[in-house]
Amino acid sequence: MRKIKPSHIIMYLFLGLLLVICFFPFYAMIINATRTTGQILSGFSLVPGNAIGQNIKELAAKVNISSAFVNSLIIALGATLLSGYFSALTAYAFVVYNMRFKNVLFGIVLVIMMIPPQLSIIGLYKFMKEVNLLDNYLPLVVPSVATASSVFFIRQYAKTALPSSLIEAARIDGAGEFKIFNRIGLPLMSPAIFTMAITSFIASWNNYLTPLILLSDQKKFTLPLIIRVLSSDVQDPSAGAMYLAIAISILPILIVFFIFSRYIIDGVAAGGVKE
Amino acid sequence: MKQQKNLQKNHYGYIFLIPFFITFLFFGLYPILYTLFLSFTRYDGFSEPVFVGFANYVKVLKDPLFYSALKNTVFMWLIGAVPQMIFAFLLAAIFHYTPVKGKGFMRAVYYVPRLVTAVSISALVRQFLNYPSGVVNQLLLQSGLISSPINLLNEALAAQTTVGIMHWWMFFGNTMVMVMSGMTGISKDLYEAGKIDGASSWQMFWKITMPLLSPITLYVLLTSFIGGLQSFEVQQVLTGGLGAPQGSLVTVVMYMYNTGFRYGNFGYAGAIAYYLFVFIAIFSVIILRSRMQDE
Repeated sequence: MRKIKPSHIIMYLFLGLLLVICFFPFYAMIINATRTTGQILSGFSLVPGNAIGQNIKELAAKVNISSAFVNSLIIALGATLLSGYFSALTAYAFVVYNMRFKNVLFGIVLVIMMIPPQLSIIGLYKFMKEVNLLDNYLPLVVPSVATASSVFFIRQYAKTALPSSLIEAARIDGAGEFKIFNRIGLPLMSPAIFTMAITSFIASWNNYLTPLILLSDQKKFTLPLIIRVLSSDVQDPSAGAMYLAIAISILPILIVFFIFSRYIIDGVAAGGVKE
Repeated sequence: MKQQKNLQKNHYGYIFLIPFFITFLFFGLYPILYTLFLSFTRYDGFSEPVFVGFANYVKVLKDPLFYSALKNTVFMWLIGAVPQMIFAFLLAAIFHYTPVKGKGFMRAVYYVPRLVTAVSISALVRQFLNYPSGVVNQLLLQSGLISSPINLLNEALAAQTTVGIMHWWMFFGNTMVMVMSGMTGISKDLYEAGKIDGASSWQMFWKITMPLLSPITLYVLLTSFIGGLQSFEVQQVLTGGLGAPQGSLVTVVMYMYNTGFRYGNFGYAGAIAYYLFVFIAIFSVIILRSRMQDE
């Protein structure tokens, strides 16, 4: 019979309390998304209500949340695809080839990882204004081609995952370099690419500052921007609609995470992700 | 012969790097340099920029609003970072040295707050802290802890502490995961030796674990600080962009954003951005150096 030490009980209580603290905001969010504004303001409840239909109507009357959802999805998917493919291509280049300035160029990648995004937004705004690309998704998607942190992470993985013998054999068979990358490199690097892709998706979904600067047409807004619009609406605050909107904006991330949590946490643990 | 063949292919390395670097040149380097250029001008977003030399930079150094924004930013980071580090290391130690049932599940749940959109969390907190009838007030009143509702966002210190707690909530799991990965590198033999010498767990933690964790401690502290310096979204959504109460929630980035996009003083905003950059660069270089050592 194993002794149950009091220190163990305290430990589990502590861990359990933290679980509740992490979980509770989401729980309250879901509960309140199903209650009317009146119910929400009059008292706290652990039990869901049945006013979700009404909240949907109230929300739809205020903003077009489904179009914001689709916008976020389009941008996030586009950014993720570009980032995944080209980060792999870039990492592959650093691992497989020996160019004269390879170390310098990789040093530049490391430096890029450290540049704060706020430094470029003012110049980016003026630049996009000049080329008439404001209110356009191009500057929100294309820059993902150059995702330094993904390159760093995938390269780390590829150093051990890409045996040069395999590549040499493919060359001897007469395959072109590009084909070797697509047919051999990509599959071998895919676990790392996948981990980074999930991270990219989440980062793009959550991205606030750049869309805030570049988008002014509400029809083009992403979810974070719509949430902000709703949150600052002091004239007609509908708590029920607000909770529902927040739930809609968060639920995809929660779903993605609980399916892929292993990949995400492994990616962080390997030190490839910026906080 | 084999080396010759490889050399012939090496130029493909350059070709494969082109997409990354061209994209960076266009959407990374050029805007950054453009910001620098604008910081030497007076530009309102519509008429042509007017060259003013270092005037903006001098003005920042004499600007009390800039210093107060900086002070707020660092203070709010500190309030969150201290518990964040304590919890992260404590949890990492618990998970590393004690067999805990449900460890994987707990680790995942603690990590979730990091991933959720900061804007959404902030909007949620704003609802929770609603005066007089947000969730927080309701819970405190219904449990009898207070007798009349409180307005946490109305008082400077309370508001800043709220932001600090939010940062703790959002990031302690992330830091915990990083520290845990650092701990896996510590050899178990060291603990065996420690036990033979009669050391207690507490002693072993401080004499063996913590010193060996110092690279990762430095890393998580610095990354947290750099992240903290950039904070903006939480404060903006909580206060509608004004940084109330009494400007206590104004961060450096919020000040920069408002200066440029609200008041149309892009040149000055650019200067603020570069001061922030210098701050961040100093700490980033420290991290970069320790990273390159690992390479």
